[in-house]
Amino acid sequence: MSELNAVILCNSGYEKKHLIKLSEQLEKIRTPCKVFLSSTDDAARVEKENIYYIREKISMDNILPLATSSLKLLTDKEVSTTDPANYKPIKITDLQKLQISPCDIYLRIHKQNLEKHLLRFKRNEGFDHSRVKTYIDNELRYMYVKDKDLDIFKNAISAEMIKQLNLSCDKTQTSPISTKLTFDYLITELKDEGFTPRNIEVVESVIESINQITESSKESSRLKQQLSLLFSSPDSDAYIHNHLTAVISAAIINKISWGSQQHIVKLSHASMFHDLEIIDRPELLELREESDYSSNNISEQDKKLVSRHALNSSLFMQDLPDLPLGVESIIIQHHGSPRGIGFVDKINPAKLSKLTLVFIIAESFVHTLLLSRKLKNLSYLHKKQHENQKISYIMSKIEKEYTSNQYREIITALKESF
Amino acid sequence: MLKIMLINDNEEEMKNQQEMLAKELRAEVVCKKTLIKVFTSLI
Repeated sequence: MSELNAVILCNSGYEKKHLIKLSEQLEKIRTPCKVFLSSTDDAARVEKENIYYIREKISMDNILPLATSSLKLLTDKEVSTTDPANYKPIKITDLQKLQISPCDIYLRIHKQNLEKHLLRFKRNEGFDHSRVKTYIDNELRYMYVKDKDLDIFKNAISAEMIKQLNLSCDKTQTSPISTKLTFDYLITELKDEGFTPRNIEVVESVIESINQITESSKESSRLKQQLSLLFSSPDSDAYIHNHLTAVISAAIINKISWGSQQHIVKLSHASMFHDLEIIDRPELLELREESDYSSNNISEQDKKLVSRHALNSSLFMQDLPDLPLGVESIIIQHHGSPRGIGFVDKINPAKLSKLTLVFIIAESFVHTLLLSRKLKNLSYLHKKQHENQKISYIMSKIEKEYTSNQYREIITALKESF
Repeated sequence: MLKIMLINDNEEEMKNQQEMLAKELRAEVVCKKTLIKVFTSLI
């Protein structure tokens, strides 16, 4: 009974001692619990904040409005019936960063096969952080804001992050402020350049199912350790790289003639797992060709680790019985080597699966994008680099690098996503 | 999900109230006939 929220007493004839005992019992349970009862006998009352007295017999007519307001609930009439497509997901963990709600924030529920939205935090109201924590404890990952409020919410998060980073904005300074790269920030930038994410709910549900592995797999498994590391830092370069690769892959598949939802599921898995073997070594994740070894002073042992990471990352799949067919081969081949060992000077697309080629293009796009955005943060020092940060420049770079016919349809699909 | 304990010794009335609370407040409603039974379940 630790989750009890309210007790409604409809019987009459309670004495003060009963209410004192009830109040004591309820104080022992974890969640704050309210009591509603009918009482005309003032002498029998116990004055406690969580006990609500009604001077008439309890009926649904008098209990519902009281319960609704005191439990901060909404009735069906107040549930928004606006089209669900007008609501955008926000990570519930972001709410912990804010003190005041920058806009109305909703909970999505499924009722009679329809998605509905309940207003849970009103604009300009202080957050009840214990309530946010309860949601998180109950494994709720997303809440929703109206489409028109998404930018307002993101700006509030960004402002809070800048505040936390002790960055002050000097309005007389013309140089851009260094901005922390987050997945949401990058997606907003891509949308500003015309990008339309597709099948995002499929991608998010795959990522969520992978996240569940961190709780369900064996305590000591390395798979669990590596995944926990990845999911514990959603603002890390590795997580953003993987998440964005999944989103870009889905966008490509959406535009490609032979693409299907099952392909998106496979590519989303591959995106999250492809570098899992070295996810605890961020300095090695940056290496993309053998010439990077010498310039980064990599030890022989680490060279071997990097060289075999595609193959070894695919071996984690063995612990996942429900994995769709084909994910392993994407992971093995993601650096162009059909056997998953080493880097190849020139990828031969004829030896790789179509889905692997989609993954290679999506990952290459994300890698170049992240690199350019990191440079953008330093662009007040290198103003000439502005041109290089445009999506059109990144696209032309990919077109020059991947010239074979097999890539043409994939690159066209990527361009059509903007 | 919201959890409510409803105490009513009138069984018919209790069933209607349970249905109404579940519908209107989207709550899981646990029914008891007496306060004694509430204490027992809370311990």
